[in-house]
Amino acid sequence: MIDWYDSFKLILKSMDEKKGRVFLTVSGIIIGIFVFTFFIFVSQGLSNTITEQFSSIGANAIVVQPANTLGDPTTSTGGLTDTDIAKIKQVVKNYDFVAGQVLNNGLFEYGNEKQYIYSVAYPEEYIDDYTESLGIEIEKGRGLRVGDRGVVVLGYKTATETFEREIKVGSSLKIEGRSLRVIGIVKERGDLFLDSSIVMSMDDMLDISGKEGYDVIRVNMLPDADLNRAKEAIDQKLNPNNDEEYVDIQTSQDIIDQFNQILGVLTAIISFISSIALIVGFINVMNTMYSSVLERINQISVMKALGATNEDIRNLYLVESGILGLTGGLIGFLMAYGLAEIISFGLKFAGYNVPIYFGWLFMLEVVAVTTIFAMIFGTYPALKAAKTNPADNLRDE
Amino acid sequence: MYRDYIKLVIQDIKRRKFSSFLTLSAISLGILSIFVIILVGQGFQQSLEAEFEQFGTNLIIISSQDSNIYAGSTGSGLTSSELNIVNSRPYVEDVLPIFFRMGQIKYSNEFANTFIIGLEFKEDTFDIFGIDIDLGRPPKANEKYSVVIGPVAAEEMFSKEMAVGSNIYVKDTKFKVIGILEAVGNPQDDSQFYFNIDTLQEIFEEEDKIDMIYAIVDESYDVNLAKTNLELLLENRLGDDTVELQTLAQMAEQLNNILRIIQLVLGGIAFVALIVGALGIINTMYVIITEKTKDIGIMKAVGATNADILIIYMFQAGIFGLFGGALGLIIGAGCTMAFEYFIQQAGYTFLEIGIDPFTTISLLLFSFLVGMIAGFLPAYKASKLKIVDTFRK
Repeated sequence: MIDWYDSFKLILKSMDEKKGRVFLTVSGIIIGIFVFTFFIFVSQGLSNTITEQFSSIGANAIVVQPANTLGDPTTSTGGLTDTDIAKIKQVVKNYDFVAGQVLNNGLFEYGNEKQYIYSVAYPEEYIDDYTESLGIEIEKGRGLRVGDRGVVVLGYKTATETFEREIKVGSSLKIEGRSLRVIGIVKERGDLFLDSSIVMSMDDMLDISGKEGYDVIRVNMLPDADLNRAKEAIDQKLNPNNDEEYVDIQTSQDIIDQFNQILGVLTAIISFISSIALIVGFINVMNTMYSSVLERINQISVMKALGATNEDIRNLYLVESGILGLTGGLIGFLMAYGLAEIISFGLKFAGYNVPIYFGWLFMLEVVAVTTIFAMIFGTYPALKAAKTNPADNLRDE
Repeated sequence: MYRDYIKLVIQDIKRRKFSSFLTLSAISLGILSIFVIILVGQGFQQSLEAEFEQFGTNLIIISSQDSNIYAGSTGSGLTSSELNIVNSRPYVEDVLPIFFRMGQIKYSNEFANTFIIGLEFKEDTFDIFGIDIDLGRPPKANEKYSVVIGPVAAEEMFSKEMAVGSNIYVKDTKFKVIGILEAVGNPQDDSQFYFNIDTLQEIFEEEDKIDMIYAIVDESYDVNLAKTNLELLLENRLGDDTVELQTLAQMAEQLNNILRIIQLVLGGIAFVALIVGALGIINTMYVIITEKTKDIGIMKAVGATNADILIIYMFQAGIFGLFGGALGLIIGAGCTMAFEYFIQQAGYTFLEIGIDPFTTISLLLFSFLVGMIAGFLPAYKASKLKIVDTFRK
């Protein structure tokens, strides 16, 4: 058994002798790991953004929509009623509030410009509940109050980006021949929906959209409530007939899962293609190790003649392969993280919040997996080295 | 001369079989991935173009901007008077009004929420789409309660298969299946239901509303000019931004652009694999040159110039690239065919992927070039060796 400290020194020395080759081999691993982890960071970042946006919409919410709207409530015809709300309240007990909302995609006019904007309305008695559970804060002017008519509150981007001219509190927007005065602008949230929407009173909304019922019923549950059980109960109450679905019911988690699923498919395709570069990198490790075994066959023979066992030699070469993988994995990971952070920083200036998180565990996983794979690819050269017959080899010289 | 080079390379490959095999497979993986991505992309592009050609390039699609497939239109969009105006233009040969909504179809006590399309019924309605009727017959103009369905709709939408003569219900109105279309080869288009537009407008209580007009322009006129003309005409009547007009060529171009971007991104990632493979070639070449230091010394001693040595070893690296590339192309062709088989099994029979000779040859040359470039540094090092040094070792 050789001393580990000595063998480690031996490995580093032999790597030092062929710096160029080690550099190229490690570079291959770095590039492979860099591309691979970079896309994982990007997809994690996007997934975080989605999760954050929906959790700001309410982690404890169950959303009930008419069936066949394919998940986009603005396209429903407003088929839900107060009777449906009453039915939900019969079967779900531990709720915070149950309230409908109406959504519409309407053509708004400001100055000479026309733009389609999503508008949303909540029943008057629930405006405060919604404001609180969605975490809406007002930047300028004031929020919607009970009794308000003919006025709107704008999302941050609606006010600043949708039209060429910025909209100020006090200006008016036109839709369907009526004029609505802007009384407030919501603080920027960095989300996809509310930032680019318009909030109006329920009466105005029903008039403008021509809808007669709710597009969405929101069931806000108390913090410790079991969402899936409540969802099940609502499903049995509102969809008693198995053939014909009346409503679609989703918990906030369901919605997040759906987005993550799509993202997952995309990530899988890209990871698959980028893993090819990684495999090529490992093939290079195998090649480099194989060449160095051949070159050092005399050295190995001498070591064996001096008493090194097959296992000693094998381990020596496995560790050397492992070091190549470890170095490449670590550097590649850090580079990918660095680039992801830079892009995330840039996106912040463009108004998109895509946070990237550094995870020690993730780093450990990446480095460990790279090291293990490098060792797997190094196994054949290591075994070849271990099987060297010193007598044969020294006789040849 | 070049035959000697190739002999040298083959000798080297034979001498270091395992190592050469690894170097070649590394390069081949990179070329393989790029090859498959390009071929699949081309396949999609060409199949889509073929689909579009069925419609003819002289088609303009006019869509009403106020239409909503769930909620219906708000009433500011296209109606039969716009249809008549479009049809009365001298450069317009034929028009087809289309109405579509999300709706519920009932068949033998089962329900399905799906896309419902209303067309003007006439004998040649489906000729405009370039689709043949497989079973049954095309609709007649006066048939109000007939429906023509796609083959996937017939077979898979309900647990009981639909046939010519089956009855289905939309909003409690009974329709009879009179025709089943031939498959066009993608599951979405093959799951459609086509009704008489008049009947659908009635049962959805949106009489006279039209969501889309297909206008076929006379071959002797310029389609783009016709489009601009129609756009002005319709916006004058209905207001700005109320309709959107697209020629089929524009739609094809947009799709192609998206495909190109996807191809570029995926191809870029695959290219990284090729770069890593090239690093492998550099390494192998360094090893070979170290091993052959003596030979290089001899070559130089008998008169080989630095440039000769540089070319010999760059060429050798190029051959590595070429062989690896060839290997990758062969396996890549196999992978592409496997991909085509699986995607066709999934119902996308419209997709046909060919092995394009131009792409194949370009990639082969490219892999040679990549090998040469990778070989430059080692070959340069070899060319600078001093004869004395090579023998001193």
